[in-house]
Amino acid sequence: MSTLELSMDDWRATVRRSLDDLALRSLGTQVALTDGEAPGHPWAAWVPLMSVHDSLRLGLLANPEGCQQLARTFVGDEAELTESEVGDALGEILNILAGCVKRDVADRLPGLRIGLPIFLPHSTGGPVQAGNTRTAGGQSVETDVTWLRVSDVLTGLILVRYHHEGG
Amino acid sequence: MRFLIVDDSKAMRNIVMRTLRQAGYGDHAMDEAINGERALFAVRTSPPDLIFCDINMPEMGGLELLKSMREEGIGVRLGFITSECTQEMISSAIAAGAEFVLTKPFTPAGLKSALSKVLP
Repeated sequence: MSTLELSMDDWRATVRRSLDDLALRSLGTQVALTDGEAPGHPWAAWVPLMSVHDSLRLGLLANPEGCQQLARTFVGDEAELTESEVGDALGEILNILAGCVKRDVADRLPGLRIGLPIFLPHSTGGPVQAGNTRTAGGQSVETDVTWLRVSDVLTGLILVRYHHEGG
Repeated sequence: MRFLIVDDSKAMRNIVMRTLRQAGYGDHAMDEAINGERALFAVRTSPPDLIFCDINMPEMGGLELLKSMREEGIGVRLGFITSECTQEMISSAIAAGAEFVLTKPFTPAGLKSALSKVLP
């Protein structure tokens, strides 16, 4: 592995450090590992982090009520938020998380770029599964799922690593 | 004094305004813009005293806004509030003329400290 790429273990460690920091400073809470079972129709927000050889798609998912609670905690508003406002808040949480990760790995991945976050409510796909696959183009795709309690919300932290072997 | 808060996220604009109030700047007027392009239009028509600006935004980002203002001879002061706070980004922002660069997430104390160097 070259110095310009990170293993999934490295990504997981830096994302967890960053999420712990963000939760404490932006949500006023701590993050705890937990056993999870994917909600049937989760809402999810994603942000891409891209470098030449090694890229990551970073996602948070929870059921709609959980997403609402996370968003309200983040914006500090007791009132019910619209679906669009929930997406905006979760996207910003991910944007900040991606920024923390970028700072943390700046020495090892100096050219890392952060894309714009997207919000996917009403997911119709199956549950996200951890595992490894390979695309027809020879790219390996590694998926990691960690279940956490964030502000008492069961939250899936999803890392999808895209990697060109020998790249 | 009048502030202009520029961020494509409504949640973040609200957080910036709330943190400004918590930091003791609640008696200042606060306007909003959703990207650099809208901010540039607002600045041309009614220049604020200080702009708080995100860097990564669709249409026109913060650095582009700052460069466009300076090219037009608009000297309104601008500070960045961004999640992308690498040393390289800070250097680019300061070189472009930013008054300060504040990293998200930030606290009222952090915001007050940044503003103490800018505001009378």
